[in-house]
Amino acid sequence: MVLPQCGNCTRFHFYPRPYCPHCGSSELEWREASGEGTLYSYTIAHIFPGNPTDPVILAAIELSEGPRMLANLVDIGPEDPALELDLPLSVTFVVKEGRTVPAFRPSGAPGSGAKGDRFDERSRA
Amino acid sequence: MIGSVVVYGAAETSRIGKVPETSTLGFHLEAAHRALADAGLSLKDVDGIASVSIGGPGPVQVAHALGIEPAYIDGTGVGGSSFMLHVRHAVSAIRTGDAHVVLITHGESGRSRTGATAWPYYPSSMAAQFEGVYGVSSPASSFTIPARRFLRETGNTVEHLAEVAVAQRRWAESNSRAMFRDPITVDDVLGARMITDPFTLLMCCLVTDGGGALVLTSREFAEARGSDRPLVEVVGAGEACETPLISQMEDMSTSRAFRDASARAFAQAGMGPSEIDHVMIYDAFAHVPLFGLEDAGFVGRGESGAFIAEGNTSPGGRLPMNTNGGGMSYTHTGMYGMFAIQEAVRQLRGEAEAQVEGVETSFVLGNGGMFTTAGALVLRRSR
Repeated sequence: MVLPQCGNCTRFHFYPRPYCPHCGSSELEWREASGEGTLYSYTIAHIFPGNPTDPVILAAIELSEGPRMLANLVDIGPEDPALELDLPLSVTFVVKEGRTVPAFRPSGAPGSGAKGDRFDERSRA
Repeated sequence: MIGSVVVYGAAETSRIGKVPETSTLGFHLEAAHRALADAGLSLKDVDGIASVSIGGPGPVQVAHALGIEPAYIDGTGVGGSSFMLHVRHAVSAIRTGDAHVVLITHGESGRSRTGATAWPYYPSSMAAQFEGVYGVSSPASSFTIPARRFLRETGNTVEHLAEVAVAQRRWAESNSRAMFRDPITVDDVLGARMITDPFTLLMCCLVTDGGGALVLTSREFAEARGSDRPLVEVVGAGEACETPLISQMEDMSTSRAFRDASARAFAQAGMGPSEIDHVMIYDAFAHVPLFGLEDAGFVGRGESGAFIAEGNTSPGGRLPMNTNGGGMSYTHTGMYGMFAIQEAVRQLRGEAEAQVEGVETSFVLGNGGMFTTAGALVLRRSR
């Protein structure tokens, strides 16, 4: 997993953009990130177009580098008692709508790797 | 410079709710004519226009369809708070003489989708790339994401979310135009169908058809033309924005846009929350009035849920809030802000169906998008 980091103020940000939102610099580099974070907030969508039956966890994840992003959780269901705010999470990658996107699983769960076990160059695009 | 600017005309469309025979543009036009009639003015008096609905029509279409030639055009479209911004901008324009009579219109066939543009959804949009791909497909699956962090940090509870819906239904019981009027209990709300956990159906706003319009002008103009109704003075207005993506809120337990817009409106008015008699806070979902009460400073952090549960915002309470029944019981076309302003004007004029005694001041807080923008107004009955 990679994140944009500012060469001037050294802070990370997400979503990607051409200028650092913290200092305005355009000296941005994609950096390897830890892939670790915590569950900042979430909702469980019970119905919505395209997925009317299976509840889906829509999670805001606070990455250890600072930025927050939205993603789904895997290897943990809506009824799991471990599903609580501040749960430590690790990135993995899944294919959704033909795109490889990040997803997060509870840290320590089998298959969770710091850099993502299915990371490849295409997901940078 | 003009001194004070007043709401001289205000009206909603004759029918709201489920009105499939009227188009989005049709609601704009009916609301415009009714607001002008309310003011006793004609189309020829109007020299400024501000309009918005989701996906259009905007001010150009509305002005052309009405047959007016505006010298002031505001197409600000930042979600359901747009009308608070339209009012704020119109106040400035009228004060400087750029416009004299500004017509602000809204219409939306939100429920029936008659003549309504489809919600735009582009795969290359930020919303699609960074939210949609994970299953965020509607306000219900996006706006609700901050709630758990808000409840955790403030100590408010899921039962408090239900109390918001219950309190507003109490007002709707007295409002013949409200879509839902039957009394409900906290258990009813908690037991309703789950939409986006912890939000049940009764914690979510309606989706309706309707429109509304306002006529703003200077006090001098209004007094010269005369009115047998109280004038409603815009004494303070504020606007703010935070983020286009819900995940990027800097703190999900408070809305920066709500705080900033409210503080700007109060500062301009030279007033504070303790001087406000009546409140309208945009309620797309049940947590939004809790944020609003805390972020605007009506109660301390973590106090909003208990404040509502104790009846303070219900009929007979000391801070009547969302007295039309709000977006959850009255109406919500997709851009509710216009209807929040309309109810504040009715209360200040003494014309509301669920009229509160002695309303001299009202505070209106509008939300746009999902905590994306905010607009706040401090309104005062001036005679």
